[in-house]
Amino acid sequence: MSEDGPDLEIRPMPRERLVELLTLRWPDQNMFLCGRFVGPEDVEGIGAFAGERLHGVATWMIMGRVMHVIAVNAFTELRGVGARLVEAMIVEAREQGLALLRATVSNDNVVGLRFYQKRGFRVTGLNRGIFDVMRHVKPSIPRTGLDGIPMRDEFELELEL
Amino acid sequence: MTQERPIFEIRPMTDRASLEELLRLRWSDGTIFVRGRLLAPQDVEALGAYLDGRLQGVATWRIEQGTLYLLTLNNITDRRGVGVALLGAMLDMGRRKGFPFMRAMLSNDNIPALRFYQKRGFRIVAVHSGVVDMMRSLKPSIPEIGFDGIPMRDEIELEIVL
Repeated sequence: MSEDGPDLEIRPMPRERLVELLTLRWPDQNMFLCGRFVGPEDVEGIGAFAGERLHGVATWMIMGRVMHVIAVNAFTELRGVGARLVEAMIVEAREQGLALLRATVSNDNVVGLRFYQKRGFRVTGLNRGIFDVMRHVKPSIPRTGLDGIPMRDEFELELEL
Repeated sequence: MTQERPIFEIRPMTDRASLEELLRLRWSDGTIFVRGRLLAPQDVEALGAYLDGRLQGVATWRIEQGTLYLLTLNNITDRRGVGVALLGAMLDMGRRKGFPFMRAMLSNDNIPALRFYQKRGFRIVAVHSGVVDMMRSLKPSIPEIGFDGIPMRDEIELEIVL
Protein backbone atom coordinates (compact mmCIF):
# COMPACT_ATOMS: atom_id res chain seq x y z
CA MET A 1 0.00 0.00 0.00
CA SER A 2 1.29 3.45 -0.83
CA GLU A 3 2.00 6.06 1.79
CA ASP A 4 -0.49 8.43 0.24
CA GLY A 5 -3.36 6.08 0.94
CA PRO A 6 -5.72 4.52 -1.54
CA ASP A 7 -6.73 6.18 -4.74
CA LEU A 8 -10.11 7.37 -3.58
CA GLU A 9 -12.46 9.94 -4.90
CA ILE A 10 -14.77 11.69 -2.47
CA ARG A 11 -18.13 12.62 -3.99
CA PRO A 12 -21.56 13.62 -2.71
CA MET A 13 -23.77 10.60 -2.25
CA PRO A 14 -26.74 10.44 -4.61
CA ARG A 15 -29.80 10.99 -2.43
CA GLU A 16 -31.56 7.72 -3.30
CA ARG A 17 -28.44 5.65 -2.65
CA LEU A 18 -27.85 7.39 0.66
CA VAL A 19 -31.41 6.78 1.81
CA GLU A 20 -31.15 3.15 0.73
CA LEU A 21 -27.92 2.68 2.67
CA LEU A 22 -29.11 4.40 5.79
CA THR A 23 -32.34 2.44 5.75
CA LEU A 24 -30.26 -0.74 5.78
CA ARG A 25 -28.09 0.48 8.61
CA TRP A 26 -30.90 1.97 10.66
CA PRO A 27 -33.44 -0.82 10.63
CA ASP A 28 -36.01 1.11 12.62
CA GLN A 29 -35.72 4.10 10.30
CA ASN A 30 -34.49 6.73 12.66
CA MET A 31 -31.82 7.73 15.06
CA PHE A 32 -31.67 10.05 17.99
CA LEU A 33 -29.60 13.20 17.66
CA CYS A 34 -29.58 16.30 19.82
CA GLY A 35 -32.87 15.50 21.44
CA ARG A 36 -34.84 14.57 18.36
CA PHE A 37 -35.27 11.66 16.02
CA VAL A 38 -33.84 12.09 12.57
CA GLY A 39 -34.51 9.96 9.55
CA PRO A 40 -32.40 9.21 6.48
CA GLU A 41 -34.01 12.08 4.58
CA ASP A 42 -32.63 14.65 7.08
CA VAL A 43 -29.08 13.62 6.44
CA GLU A 44 -26.40 14.70 3.98
CA GLY A 45 -23.55 12.48 2.97
CA ILE A 46 -20.44 11.91 0.94
CA GLY A 47 -19.00 8.67 -0.32
CA ALA A 48 -15.47 7.43 -0.85
CA PHE A 49 -15.33 5.79 -4.26
CA ALA A 50 -12.65 3.85 -6.08
CA GLY A 51 -14.10 3.81 -9.58
CA GLU A 52 -17.74 2.94 -9.03
CA ARG A 53 -17.08 0.92 -5.92
CA LEU A 54 -18.19 2.56 -2.69
CA HIS A 55 -15.71 2.08 0.16
CA GLY A 56 -17.19 4.27 2.82
CA VAL A 57 -19.74 6.91 3.66
CA ALA A 58 -19.77 9.89 5.99
CA THR A 59 -23.04 11.45 7.01
CA TRP A 60 -23.94 14.64 8.84
CA MET A 61 -26.68 17.03 9.63
CA ILE A 62 -26.27 20.79 9.90
CA MET A 63 -28.02 22.60 12.70
CA GLY A 64 -27.27 26.30 12.99
CA ARG A 65 -23.52 26.70 12.49
CA VAL A 66 -22.71 23.20 13.68
CA MET A 67 -22.08 20.20 11.48
CA HIS A 68 -23.18 17.17 13.48
CA VAL A 69 -21.29 14.14 12.29
CA ILE A 70 -23.69 11.23 12.31
CA ALA A 71 -21.41 8.46 11.20
CA VAL A 72 -18.18 7.74 9.39
CA ASN A 73 -18.23 4.20 8.08
CA ALA A 74 -15.71 2.30 6.05
CA PHE A 75 -17.14 -0.79 4.40
CA THR A 76 -13.93 -2.42 3.25
CA GLU A 77 -10.52 -3.27 4.56
CA LEU A 78 -9.02 -0.43 2.58
CA ARG A 79 -7.08 1.78 4.95
CA GLY A 80 -7.47 5.52 5.15
CA VAL A 81 -11.08 5.68 4.02
CA GLY A 82 -12.36 7.18 7.28
CA ALA A 83 -9.57 9.74 7.39
CA ARG A 84 -10.27 10.90 3.84
CA LEU A 85 -13.97 11.22 4.60
CA VAL A 86 -13.35 13.31 7.70
CA GLU A 87 -10.95 15.59 5.80
CA ALA A 88 -13.60 16.10 3.14
CA MET A 89 -16.24 16.88 5.77
CA ILE A 90 -13.98 19.50 7.31
CA VAL A 91 -13.48 21.12 3.88
CA GLU A 92 -17.23 21.09 3.28
CA ALA A 93 -17.94 22.65 6.69
CA ARG A 94 -15.37 25.40 6.06
CA GLU A 95 -16.85 26.15 2.65
CA GLN A 96 -20.25 26.52 4.23
CA GLY A 97 -18.84 28.91 6.83
CA LEU A 98 -19.74 26.70 9.80
CA ALA A 99 -18.24 27.22 13.24
CA LEU A 100 -17.55 23.65 14.26
CA LEU A 101 -17.96 19.95 13.70
CA ARG A 102 -19.39 17.88 16.50
CA ALA A 103 -19.13 14.12 16.73
CA THR A 104 -20.16 11.58 19.33
CA VAL A 105 -18.77 8.16 20.12
CA SER A 106 -20.10 5.59 22.54
CA ASN A 107 -17.94 4.76 25.55
CA ASP A 108 -16.99 1.33 24.20
CA ASN A 109 -15.76 2.77 20.92
CA VAL A 110 -12.26 3.67 22.03
CA VAL A 111 -11.00 3.27 18.47
CA GLY A 112 -13.41 6.00 17.41
CA LEU A 113 -12.29 8.19 20.28
CA ARG A 114 -8.70 7.84 19.08
CA PHE A 115 -9.69 8.37 15.45
CA TYR A 116 -11.38 11.71 16.04
CA GLN A 117 -8.76 12.96 18.49
CA LYS A 118 -5.97 12.18 16.04
CA ARG A 119 -7.78 14.34 13.52
CA GLY A 120 -8.00 17.43 15.66
CA PHE A 121 -11.26 16.87 17.54
CA ARG A 122 -11.15 17.39 21.24
CA VAL A 123 -13.27 15.85 23.94
CA THR A 124 -15.76 18.40 25.17
CA GLY A 125 -18.12 16.36 27.26
CA LEU A 126 -19.65 13.13 28.40
CA ASN A 127 -23.32 12.32 28.13
CA ARG A 128 -23.30 9.89 30.99
CA GLY A 129 -25.82 7.07 30.87
CA ILE A 130 -27.44 8.37 27.66
CA PHE A 131 -27.70 4.89 26.12
CA ASP A 132 -29.37 3.53 29.24
CA VAL A 133 -31.97 6.27 28.88
CA MET A 134 -32.37 5.87 25.12
CA ARG A 135 -32.80 2.13 25.50
CA HIS A 136 -36.15 2.81 27.20
CA VAL A 137 -37.30 4.55 24.04
CA LYS A 138 -35.51 2.25 21.63
CA PRO A 139 -34.94 -1.21 23.14
CA SER A 140 -32.93 -2.36 20.11
CA ILE A 141 -29.89 -0.42 21.32
CA PRO A 142 -27.45 -3.15 22.36
CA ARG A 143 -26.33 -3.42 25.98
CA THR A 144 -22.85 -4.55 25.09
CA GLY A 145 -20.65 -2.85 22.55
CA LEU A 146 -17.13 -3.37 21.27
CA ASP A 147 -14.71 -5.55 23.24
CA GLY A 148 -17.54 -6.70 25.49
CA ILE A 149 -17.73 -3.25 27.08
CA PRO A 150 -21.20 -2.20 28.29
CA MET A 151 -22.57 0.60 26.10
CA ARG A 152 -23.81 3.35 28.36
CA ASP A 153 -22.28 6.74 27.75
CA GLU A 154 -21.38 8.98 24.88
CA PHE A 155 -18.32 11.16 24.47
CA GLU A 156 -18.88 14.43 22.72
CA LEU A 157 -16.06 15.75 20.56
CA GLU A 158 -15.65 19.01 18.70
CA LEU A 159 -13.43 20.43 16.05
CA GLU A 160 -13.44 24.20 15.82
CA LEU A 161 -13.06 25.59 12.34
CA MET B 1 -4.50 -20.71 22.80
CA THR B 2 -3.36 -21.38 26.30
CA GLN B 3 -1.81 -18.54 28.13
CA GLU B 4 0.68 -19.00 30.85
CA ARG B 5 -0.18 -16.77 33.73
CA PRO B 6 2.89 -16.05 35.75
CA ILE B 7 2.32 -15.66 39.45
CA PHE B 8 3.49 -12.23 40.44
CA GLU B 9 4.33 -11.30 43.93
CA ILE B 10 2.58 -8.05 44.68
CA ARG B 11 3.69 -5.92 47.56
CA PRO B 12 3.95 -2.27 48.54
CA MET B 13 7.04 -0.57 47.19
CA THR B 14 8.96 0.56 50.21
CA ASP B 15 12.03 1.85 48.41
CA ARG B 16 10.82 5.42 47.95
CA ALA B 17 13.97 6.58 46.20
CA SER B 18 13.70 4.06 43.37
CA LEU B 19 9.93 4.56 43.12
CA GLU B 20 10.35 8.30 42.70
CA GLU B 21 13.16 7.81 40.23
CA LEU B 22 10.99 5.42 38.24
CA LEU B 23 8.05 7.81 38.21
CA ARG B 24 10.23 10.64 37.02
CA LEU B 25 11.67 8.54 34.21
CA ARG B 26 8.45 6.84 33.13
CA TRP B 27 5.63 9.27 33.76
CA SER B 28 6.52 12.46 31.98
CA ASP B 29 8.81 13.89 34.60
CA GLY B 30 6.77 12.40 37.43
CA THR B 31 3.59 14.17 36.39
CA ILE B 32 0.71 12.48 38.15
CA PHE B 33 -2.56 14.24 38.63
CA VAL B 34 -5.90 13.73 40.20
CA ARG B 35 -8.91 15.96 39.68
CA GLY B 36 -6.85 18.78 38.31
CA ARG B 37 -4.29 18.67 41.09
CA LEU B 38 -0.66 17.87 40.44
CA LEU B 39 0.90 15.30 42.70
CA ALA B 40 4.55 14.90 43.44
CA PRO B 41 6.01 11.38 43.40
CA GLN B 42 6.32 11.55 47.18
CA ASP B 43 2.53 12.07 47.46
CA VAL B 44 1.67 8.62 46.11
CA GLU B 45 1.73 5.08 47.44
CA ALA B 46 2.69 2.20 45.19
CA LEU B 47 2.28 -1.50 44.72
CA GLY B 48 4.96 -3.34 42.80
CA ALA B 49 4.55 -6.61 40.88
CA TYR B 50 7.63 -8.79 41.18
CA LEU B 51 8.72 -11.95 39.44
CA ASP B 52 11.79 -13.72 40.78
CA GLY B 53 12.48 -10.66 42.85
CA ARG B 54 12.51 -8.34 39.81
CA LEU B 55 10.08 -5.48 39.41
CA GLN B 56 7.69 -5.99 36.47
CA GLY B 57 5.14 -3.25 37.00
CA VAL B 58 3.87 -0.54 39.29
CA ALA B 59 0.47 0.73 40.38
CA THR B 60 0.29 4.04 42.22
CA TRP B 61 -2.60 5.16 44.36
CA ARG B 62 -3.70 7.78 46.80
CA ILE B 63 -6.66 8.52 49.02
CA GLU B 64 -7.95 11.93 48.00
CA GLN B 65 -10.80 13.46 49.99
CA GLY B 66 -11.95 10.08 51.23
CA THR B 67 -11.88 8.43 47.78
CA LEU B 68 -9.40 5.78 46.71
CA TYR B 69 -7.76 6.76 43.42
CA LEU B 70 -5.75 4.45 41.22
CA LEU B 71 -3.37 6.91 39.61
CA THR B 72 -1.06 4.95 37.33
CA LEU B 73 -0.84 1.32 36.28
CA ASN B 74 2.07 0.26 34.12
CA ASN B 75 4.30 -2.57 33.02
CA ILE B 76 7.95 -1.88 33.04
CA THR B 77 8.74 -5.05 31.11
CA ASP B 78 6.88 -6.66 28.24
CA ARG B 79 5.67 -9.49 30.45
CA ARG B 80 1.93 -10.01 29.97
CA GLY B 81 -0.59 -10.02 32.77
CA VAL B 82 1.17 -7.49 34.98
CA GLY B 83 -1.57 -4.89 34.68
CA VAL B 84 -4.33 -7.37 35.43
CA ALA B 85 -2.46 -8.70 38.46
CA LEU B 86 -1.82 -5.21 39.81
CA LEU B 87 -5.40 -4.18 39.22
CA GLY B 88 -6.61 -7.28 41.08
CA ALA B 89 -4.37 -6.40 44.00
CA MET B 90 -5.66 -2.82 44.03
CA LEU B 91 -9.26 -4.06 44.10
CA ASP B 92 -8.44 -6.41 46.99
CA MET B 93 -6.71 -3.64 48.86
CA GLY B 94 -9.63 -1.26 48.32
CA ARG B 95 -12.10 -3.85 49.62
CA ARG B 96 -9.93 -4.62 52.65
CA LYS B 97 -9.77 -0.94 53.47
CA GLY B 98 -13.57 -0.78 53.21
CA PHE B 99 -13.92 1.54 50.23
CA PRO B 100 -17.24 1.21 48.36
CA PHE B 101 -15.57 2.04 45.04
CA MET B 102 -12.25 2.94 43.47
CA ARG B 103 -11.64 5.59 40.85
CA ALA B 104 -9.02 5.81 38.14
CA MET B 105 -7.75 8.85 36.27
CA LEU B 106 -6.60 8.89 32.67
CA SER B 107 -5.58 11.53 30.24
CA ASN B 108 -7.68 11.80 27.08
CA ASP B 109 -4.97 10.34 24.83
CA ASN B 110 -4.64 7.13 26.82
CA ILE B 111 -6.94 5.01 24.69
CA PRO B 112 -5.39 1.61 25.59
CA ALA B 113 -6.04 2.26 29.27
CA LEU B 114 -9.59 3.44 28.59
CA ARG B 115 -10.27 0.10 26.94
CA PHE B 116 -8.40 -1.88 29.61
CA TYR B 117 -10.33 -0.35 32.50
CA GLN B 118 -13.72 -0.54 30.83
CA LYS B 119 -13.19 -4.19 29.91
CA ARG B 120 -12.55 -4.88 33.58
CA GLY B 121 -15.65 -3.32 35.02
CA PHE B 122 -14.87 0.37 35.34
CA ARG B 123 -17.33 2.87 34.01
CA ILE B 124 -16.73 6.45 33.04
CA VAL B 125 -18.00 8.97 35.56
CA ALA B 126 -16.69 12.23 34.15
CA VAL B 127 -14.63 14.03 31.57
CA HIS B 128 -12.76 17.01 32.95
CA SER B 129 -12.24 18.91 29.76
CA GLY B 130 -9.15 21.12 29.55
CA VAL B 131 -7.82 20.22 33.00
CA VAL B 132 -4.44 19.07 31.71
CA ASP B 133 -4.05 22.31 29.75
CA MET B 134 -4.70 24.17 32.96
CA MET B 135 -2.11 22.13 34.85
CA ARG B 136 0.41 22.72 32.09
CA SER B 137 0.18 26.43 32.70
CA LEU B 138 1.45 25.69 36.22
CA LYS B 139 3.99 23.07 35.18
CA PRO B 140 5.19 23.64 31.61
CA SER B 141 7.07 20.33 31.54
CA ILE B 142 3.78 18.44 31.16
CA PRO B 143 4.00 17.23 27.56
CA GLU B 144 1.66 18.68 24.93
CA ILE B 145 1.39 15.46 23.00
CA GLY B 146 0.57 12.05 24.43
CA PHE B 147 -0.06 8.63 22.91
CA ASP B 148 -0.53 8.37 19.14
CA GLY B 149 0.20 12.05 18.64
CA ILE B 150 -2.99 13.04 20.47
CA PRO B 151 -2.78 16.34 22.38
CA MET B 152 -3.02 15.79 26.14
CA ARG B 153 -5.72 18.09 27.42
CA ASP B 154 -8.39 16.40 29.51
CA GLU B 155 -8.82 13.96 32.35
CA ILE B 156 -11.18 11.03 32.12
CA GLU B 157 -12.37 9.70 35.47
CA LEU B 158 -13.57 6.10 35.84
CA GLU B 159 -15.06 4.17 38.72
CA ILE B 160 -15.42 0.56 39.74
CA VAL B 161 -17.66 -0.75 42.48
CA LEU B 162 -15.77 -2.79 45.06
